[in-house]
Amino acid sequence: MSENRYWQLLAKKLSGEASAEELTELEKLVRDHPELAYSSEHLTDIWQLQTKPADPYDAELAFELHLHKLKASGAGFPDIDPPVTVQEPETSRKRINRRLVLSFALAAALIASYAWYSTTGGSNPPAIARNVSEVSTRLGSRSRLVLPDSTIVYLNAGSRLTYNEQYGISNRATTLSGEAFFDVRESKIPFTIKTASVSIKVLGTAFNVKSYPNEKTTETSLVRGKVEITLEKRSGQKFILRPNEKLVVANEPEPEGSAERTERRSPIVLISELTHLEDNTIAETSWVENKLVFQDESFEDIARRLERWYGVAIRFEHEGLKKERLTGTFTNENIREALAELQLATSFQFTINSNSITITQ
Amino acid sequence: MVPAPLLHKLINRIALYDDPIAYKEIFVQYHARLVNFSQSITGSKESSEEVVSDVFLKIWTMRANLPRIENFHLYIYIITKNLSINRVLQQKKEKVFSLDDAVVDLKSIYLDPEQLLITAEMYKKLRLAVDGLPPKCRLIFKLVKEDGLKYREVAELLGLSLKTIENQMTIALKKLGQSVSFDLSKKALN
Repeated sequence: MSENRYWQLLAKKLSGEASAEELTELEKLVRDHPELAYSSEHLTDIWQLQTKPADPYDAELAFELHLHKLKASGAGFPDIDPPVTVQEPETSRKRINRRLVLSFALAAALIASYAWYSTTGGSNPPAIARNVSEVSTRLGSRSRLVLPDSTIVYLNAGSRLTYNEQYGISNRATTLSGEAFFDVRESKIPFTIKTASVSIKVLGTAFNVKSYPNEKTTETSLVRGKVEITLEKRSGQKFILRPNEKLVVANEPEPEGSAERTERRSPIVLISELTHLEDNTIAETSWVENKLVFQDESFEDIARRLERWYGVAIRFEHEGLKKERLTGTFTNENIREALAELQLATSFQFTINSNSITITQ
Repeated sequence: MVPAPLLHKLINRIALYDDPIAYKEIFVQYHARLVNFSQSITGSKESSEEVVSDVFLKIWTMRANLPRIENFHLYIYIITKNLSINRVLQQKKEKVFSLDDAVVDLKSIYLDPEQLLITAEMYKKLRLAVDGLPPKCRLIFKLVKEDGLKYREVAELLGLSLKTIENQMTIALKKLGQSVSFDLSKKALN
């Protein structure tokens, strides 16, 4: 055998350049020379190692710098494309609404990609008709936005809020995946939020909804006012929350197979009080003030929150650690500092490899 | 790597609608790898950041013509190469740039006990083998492995023959393969 032929074929195979004949030839070579299998396996592993993902923050920063250059070049870079397009209004009342919608559009856009500068250039972005507006946050970032009716929404990391073009005009309907704090402006139009497992209806109030698809529960925490919560999957059962209460609903897994089975998995519902901390902040809504607070939560749950908060992936090497219960508050800590603080509370080791973190005993 | 259909969509959004969000998405997706590639030519991170910014400035000014480009992935590497070489020639006042001067850092070879079943000692040998590859060879290997370019694309990008790319890839695989199989013979002897 020509040894070089083997390496040549292996290189082609890994690069996806090999033809079917070449693959067969390589297989035969390895079969006839079992001693090659070892390096072949290792090289395949090595080949599959991906470049560690670059810090997304670096790219954001670079883009900000790049925008300066783009602006200075006079290349006519457009303002952010408004996520909301409203049909041409006729009445003056509608015109006001349109302005509100457009000013929100700007706010939403700023949030959707926070590193954008709006240019003052005269070029108009083309209007792309969209019926539904969507605002979302990446993992590791949080946003504040003002809806057309002046309702304020804080969107936590990895969350998505949608509403339609009639928002503030004929309805105030929103859908949420993830976590958001709402300070709803009073109005005759009911404000509604649909999540995967509950619907919430309000008239004017401040409350927090946490409904991440990968969490076991959906939580609604009421700070003031009054909300009515309907459990979608429990034939419309209703709950009314009073201030300082929260409703926790177990998220139902997707129904699989028999109806009997889904019946048994109907949501478990629990009303409890909000958790007040010593400094008068409320644990459930503390993220709005850029605080990550957890009170006697399992390390596993905390890890999931850290993942969203910092935009990282956390893996446990030892099952036992997941059950450790911890309490703490983070404000300006980076992920390394946060983990170092947790190490004071319970003993574990961690390694940070770019965005993935491994927790070991 | 941006999947081709998504890339195609993003390019159309930029070309047809001046969509700044699509533009940003492409910037974010390509920025790190292009800076890396540029750096193998300029040898300086700062210069490369500026080069890549120039590349994207060009992409924006020519956006209307983007859909006509057959292979955007290759194209953006070609612009990056050209602007990087221009920069080196300006700065060093030299007449030519040689691939043998490339400074290539292979970012995708590191010790990951989860994915690599090799010992730290074996990894050291692997790393030595990587660092021992001639610059041109390392650059070709990197462009194929990390930047997802095909052999013929690398050939076009670097102005080399397809045969050269094949040979250099064979050399790279052989050197790396021998560095990880050496341990086996030792183990077998024990």
